Amino acid sequence: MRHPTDLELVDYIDDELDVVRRAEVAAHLDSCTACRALVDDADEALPIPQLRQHGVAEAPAAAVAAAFSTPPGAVERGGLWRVAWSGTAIAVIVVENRGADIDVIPALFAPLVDDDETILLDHSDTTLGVPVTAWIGLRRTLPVAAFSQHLADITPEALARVLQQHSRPAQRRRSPAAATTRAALVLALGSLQEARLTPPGATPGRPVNLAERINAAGLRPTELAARLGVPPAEITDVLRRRRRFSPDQATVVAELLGLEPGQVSASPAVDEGLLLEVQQPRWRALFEERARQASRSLEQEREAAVRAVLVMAARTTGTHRGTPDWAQLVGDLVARG
Amino acid sequence: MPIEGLLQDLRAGAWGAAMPKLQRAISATVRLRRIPPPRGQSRWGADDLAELTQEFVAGRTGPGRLTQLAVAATSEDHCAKVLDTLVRNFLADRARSDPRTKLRRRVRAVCGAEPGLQVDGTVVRERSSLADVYAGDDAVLRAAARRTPVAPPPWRDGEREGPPTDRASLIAVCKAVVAAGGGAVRLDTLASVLVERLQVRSSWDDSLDDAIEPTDSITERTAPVSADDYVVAAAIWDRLDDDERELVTFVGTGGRTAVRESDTALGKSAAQQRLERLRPRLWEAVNGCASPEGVVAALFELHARWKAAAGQSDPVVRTSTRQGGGAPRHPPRSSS
Repeated sequence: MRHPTDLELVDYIDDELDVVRRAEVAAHLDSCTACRALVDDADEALPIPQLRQHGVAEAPAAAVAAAFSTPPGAVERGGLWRVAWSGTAIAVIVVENRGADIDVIPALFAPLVDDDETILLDHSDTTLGVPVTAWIGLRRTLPVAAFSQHLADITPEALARVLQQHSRPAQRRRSPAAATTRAALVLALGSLQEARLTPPGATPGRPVNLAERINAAGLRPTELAARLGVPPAEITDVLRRRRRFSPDQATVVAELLGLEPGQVSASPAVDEGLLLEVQQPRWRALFEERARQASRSLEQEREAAVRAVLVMAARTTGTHRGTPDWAQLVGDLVARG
Repeated sequence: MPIEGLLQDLRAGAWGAAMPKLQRAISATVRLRRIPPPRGQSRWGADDLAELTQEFVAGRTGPGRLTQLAVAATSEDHCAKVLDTLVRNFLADRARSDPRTKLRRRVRAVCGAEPGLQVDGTVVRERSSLADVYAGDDAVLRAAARRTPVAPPPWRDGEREGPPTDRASLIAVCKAVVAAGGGAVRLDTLASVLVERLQVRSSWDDSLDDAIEPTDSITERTAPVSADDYVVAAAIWDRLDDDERELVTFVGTGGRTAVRESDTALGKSAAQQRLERLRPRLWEAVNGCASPEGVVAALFELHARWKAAAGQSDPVVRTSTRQGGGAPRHPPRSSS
């Protein structure tokens, strides 16, 4: 069981936890001497303060609310973004946009650190209105798929200062107190760099011969067609790679064959433009919501969107051989719900 | 139980509505960790707690804290853990700025560097002394401190206050107190005696009673480290080989720095390669923990203990290995 927070321990003392959590905390206290000591030595109950709300900063509150309630625009230089992937989230300053890859400098609002690998931006340097530590020594390239919310922008002067400091030869003065913060940031950035959407079926070793698998499973195309409720000709088309299964069909077939849905709808390299489009931050909130409803990960949801858009493209473009308008198709997919 | 709806309030911009939840979290840490009450108070009052919350929310770095919380949290449960860390950091920073805590930290540093004394965990003892830790009446120690003359504060100006005395006087009093204690005195006791001898006043409380003795329970760590953090860190530590352990504190820097500042026998490129392989492994283990920074801090502590054990067991072997010797540089894994 995870270590309880201070509030949970106090709620335990005051018997204000629900039954399940109380039992978990009690079990934890049986095995954790440090927590047991805290609980045993805790002060008596403190008075409940009168609520005060004055002094609450309005500018950052409004900026945060806007960031989390409206779809973000394009990732642009000088933007202050929240990047998130697989349980990791930090803020970054965009210093260069190279399409799918974006150069960033991590930023922290707390704690503030001032040494030769960081630069402190004042509250007037950003539209967020709070001081920011820009970790200029930790510049990294992150995939656009990690970009989640546009929090604010930093002023051109501040951006120039950040870039100027970054190009300076590395200094040696590092704040010892910030060593763990720096290390945690480096590790988080490493995780965020993994936030790339794998083209369906393009992972080495994953493509499968669908016809062979169906044959090995003792299924005939007509049986499969009956299971999916489609004409047998559609199955034949899929096996001849003239069309792809829809996401729902791929899920059913994958279950029948003991495969991943991505393997069932395996396809040759997917157009880079489509991959880039589904990774754009403006779709992220919608995909997150769809992923939540379908109980799958954001990455899986994006893969499903790629497959669905490919099916749409195959149906709507006919003999047209030009590149489809991926942005339009993704928009249509999202609007379809 | 997470603080229901805190993350939702923060992300909706309803920071005022989040105040009661923040107050609950701050009051809980104050109560659980027995944070000393403010100046002139024998216990925390409702107004004091309201002031403290106000400082957390609206102080110079307050809006940044709430922004960090809204940005870094990935769920309500995670938000509660991040807030727990922020509150403890806030109270630790506050305590560090207290003159008596500063004095305690200075005593630790000065005694650690003084040839005639040594700091052994939480005990200050005469070098090479095996005496039991003093358990008698503190009045004996206070009397020894009073008999030792001290210089006045070396400097003071309108805005800042210098240390309560100079280094030589501080060492003289420490030596006198440790000698009066038979050669070994607890650091907390020594600091408490010095507080009285040097008339150091807390910024929180003018009354020097036992309840507000300086303590390192919350001030000594760079990041709050929980028992869980140690469990995770120990599991990671056990899977590292000696070179990786040597490099673990350099995951935030680079191979060049690691070679310059550590005892690794690796070259620059090899160190960089090992670091690049080490980082994803560490992150895989650390990611998903409520406090990655706490786990990293615990790893750093394990590293420091390991280095200390290596230094005590056979410092000569370490040197010879740097020169190409074949003996193991560090204690066997079981010692960690």
